[in-house]
Amino acid sequence: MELEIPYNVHPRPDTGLYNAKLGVWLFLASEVMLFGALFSSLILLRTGAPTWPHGWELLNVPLATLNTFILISSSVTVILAWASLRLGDLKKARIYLALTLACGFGFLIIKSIEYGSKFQHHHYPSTDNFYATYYVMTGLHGLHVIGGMILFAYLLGPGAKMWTKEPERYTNRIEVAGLYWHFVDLVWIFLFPTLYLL
Amino acid sequence: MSGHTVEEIRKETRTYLIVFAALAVLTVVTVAVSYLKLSVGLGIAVALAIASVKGFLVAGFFMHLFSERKLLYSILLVTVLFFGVLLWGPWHHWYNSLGVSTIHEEKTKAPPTAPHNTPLPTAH
Repeated sequence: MELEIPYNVHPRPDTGLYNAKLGVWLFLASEVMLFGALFSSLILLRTGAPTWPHGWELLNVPLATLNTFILISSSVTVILAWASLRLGDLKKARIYLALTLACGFGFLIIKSIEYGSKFQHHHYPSTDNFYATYYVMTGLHGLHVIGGMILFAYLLGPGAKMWTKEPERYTNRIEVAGLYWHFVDLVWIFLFPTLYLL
Repeated sequence: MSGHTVEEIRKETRTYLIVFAALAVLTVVTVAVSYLKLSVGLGIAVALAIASVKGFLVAGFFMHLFSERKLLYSILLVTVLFFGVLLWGPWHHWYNSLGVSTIHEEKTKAPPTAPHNTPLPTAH
């Protein structure tokens, strides 16, 4: 006997939202607290330290700027994939999803170049509080990027089979995955100036 | 999410592209402002103000918060409240340390009111 999950396509009458959407927003609320704790720690360490280096003196601003553009572009490609599905165009949606994945790869490659350069100069998380916060915050963000990429790889590949039988449910999945991805973009929007430009 | 006709979805798509352009311009502005070498306080204020506008655009348009259900706003209100508590901690620490240093400076700068060997006034 197959148990059907209720309200995965149409909104629940009491919440006005389909269950996955409410679930992902609750998850994102917990994510705000996770990254919020790290931002809070950074402020505490920075204001408590007698001296704190400027991010632009130690980190690669042009590469991080490029990564910002890449992540913003990937947010647009996700939402265009969702819009394409709402117009019934799976082929176009898959192209946009593939572009999103490519952006994710691009972001990680640039990040690894940055990390590699720091390691070459013997700048590790144990070096000082600046590098400790830099590696923890960008590392955790990078893990979120990897998580999102795994999700999109699934939705682009085997997960896309759902489109033939349940197109609305598949469209909702892309929307929910997109919400997560936009959040990852949002975190980077604050990480970039905080770590690199101040 | 409102707008389900083909024309409405196409209109939304155009909006997304405009938002993308705005985010790209604001990124350039953020980097350009960092080269102005503003004072630390002003630099932080400007950088975070631009980041907040960018975040507002992403959350409002890409995450559809401008047209969402009231329930989500309630969840986010609680989230913002607790996020504020998280930031209150370091702010309180910074504010306290500011007060301590000011008092310390005043104590070191203030001339002694009386020599150490001055006898205390006695009641008659």
